[in-house]
Amino acid sequence: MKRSMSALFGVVLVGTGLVACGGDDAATTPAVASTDVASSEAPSTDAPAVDGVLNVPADYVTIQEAVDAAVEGDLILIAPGTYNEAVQVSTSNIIIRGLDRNTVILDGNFELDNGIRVVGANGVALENMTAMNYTKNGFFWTGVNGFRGDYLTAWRNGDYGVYVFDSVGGVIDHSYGAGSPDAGVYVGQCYPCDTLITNFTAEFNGLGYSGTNSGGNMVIVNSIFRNNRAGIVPNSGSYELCYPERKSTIIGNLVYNNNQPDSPAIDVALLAMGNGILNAGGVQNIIERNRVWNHNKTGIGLVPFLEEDASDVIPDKSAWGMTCEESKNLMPVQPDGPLLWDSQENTVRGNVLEDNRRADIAVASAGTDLWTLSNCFEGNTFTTSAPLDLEKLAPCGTPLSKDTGDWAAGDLNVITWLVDVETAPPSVDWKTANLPAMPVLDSMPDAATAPGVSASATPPAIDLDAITVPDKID
Amino acid sequence: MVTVKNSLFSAVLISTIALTACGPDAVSSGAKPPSEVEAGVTTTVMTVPPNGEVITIQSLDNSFRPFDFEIAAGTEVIFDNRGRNDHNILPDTVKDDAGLIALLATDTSPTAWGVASPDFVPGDTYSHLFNVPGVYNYYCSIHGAPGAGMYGTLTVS
Repeated sequence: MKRSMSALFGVVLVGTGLVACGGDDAATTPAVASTDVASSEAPSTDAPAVDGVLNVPADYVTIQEAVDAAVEGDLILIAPGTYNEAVQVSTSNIIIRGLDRNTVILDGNFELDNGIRVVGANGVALENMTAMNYTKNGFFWTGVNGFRGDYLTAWRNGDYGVYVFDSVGGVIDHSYGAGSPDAGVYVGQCYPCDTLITNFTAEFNGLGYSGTNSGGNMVIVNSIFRNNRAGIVPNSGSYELCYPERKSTIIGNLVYNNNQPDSPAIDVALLAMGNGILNAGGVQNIIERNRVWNHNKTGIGLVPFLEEDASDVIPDKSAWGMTCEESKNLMPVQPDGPLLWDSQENTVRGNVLEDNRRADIAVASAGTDLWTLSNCFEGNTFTTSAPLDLEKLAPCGTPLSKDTGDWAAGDLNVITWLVDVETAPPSVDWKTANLPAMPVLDSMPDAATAPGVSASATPPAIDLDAITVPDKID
Repeated sequence: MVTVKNSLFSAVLISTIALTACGPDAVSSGAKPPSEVEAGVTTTVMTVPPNGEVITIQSLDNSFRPFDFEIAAGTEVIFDNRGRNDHNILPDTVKDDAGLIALLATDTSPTAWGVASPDFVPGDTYSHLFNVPGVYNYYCSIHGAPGAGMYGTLTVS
């Protein structure tokens, strides 16, 4: 059944006054599991209301009406149909679930901003639905402690597919983002993030993953990043708070074909184009056991991030342990000129790389002596590197020096990328970009009957050591 | 300028702004004009002349820095969009760009302020002279809501 509700859409801000004027419950309320949902009988939009279950459209015509009526612990079940809404969530610990991922569609009609936006509401779980054609983001959490996105499809949205900002303690799982000029999935401005991205597929975006100033138990595993302009791109920059990007863990991903010439792309995506995993000014990241192939530039590149018109100076290493909340209170110092955020102290180990035309593995700076940056490479399967013999130049567990070899031989001149970007295939309008047919993706099991469980602020434990290099796929 | 007792005036004004910000239907109207009549009592807002102070608040992606700041009345505040995204600056009483534009079209009082996103793209600045004491809560409707996400408070004393 397709249901159009265009006459009913609209952002409703009921409740935001409470957020503004009530206490700071957005920072203190613990996540709780809903206990009100009957698990022995399938909720149905045609069935009488079950305590704690709000059915759309049977009980509430729009998703927003159900959200506004919900209290903590409630489960909102959405029947298949097309919903022209931009849903705003300000109630903590509710669960919003589609009964079918592929046929519960929130459609912004290229006019509405976000499919579902969660602002300052902790523990909100979004499950099993599609958001498409929004001018900003498909799914958006900001300023929350505890979030979860499961079985989400974000398709052709004007900024990000799945956008997590200034939020900690969450999981994005079994989800998909395509056709956004920025990233298919983004996590930024958090430290420690305590966030897990797993089983995510990002394709035909500007960037597959973007993470500005995120890190600290920020884990990206078992996911696919392909056919974007660039694959996985963590970066530092003072245009967001909580810099630098640090201590992200990127393990067991398939990263390939990120040279896509006809996707929508922001300027950074054009600059990063042709790279698989591009660490742009990130520090202390771990990049292990990924399979990375077919890129015009690097498979895994550790490069500086040039920031024009910066808002603050680069913090000293002694500040890297400061939490995001602590660093927000620091007053900025206006720098004299552009900043160069060097990639430092990253570990690239045990990855399998092939057919990355400039280099399978690479490290570069824009003037800083490379050995002083303490990035290390070990146990990778590769053919080419920049500089040459990179694993001999920069082994892990050993202090680096200029005497470990010839750091200039075959080095990567990233300054030329600033020229390359001028001739890169230009961005394509996200509204009209030529995307493949939207894939039919697995839905959440037992969506109609599974109990509603709000998002925990503690992501599930994952055995990183057990992750192996994934097999190649077509 | 009408002479009033400063302490009494300040209390009245701050109360007015706070109530306006926290009202349950705070979606369309701005801060009250300075000389509005309420409950049969005429309160007159004392505007303070510029004191020569200028401070800058950065509008980053997606935060105001500093987000909670106190200034003296008569200070000019420059909001500087140093991010890579469009932002807006709306008093908590305003719902969106359209609401702000409507407000500014009809309210020329010194407590009516803010900038809509088309006029606050990366690299843009917006300045306002805060010459009426009070608490000014504001936010970016693109990246926040009143009191959550991208928001800030200016206390003008």
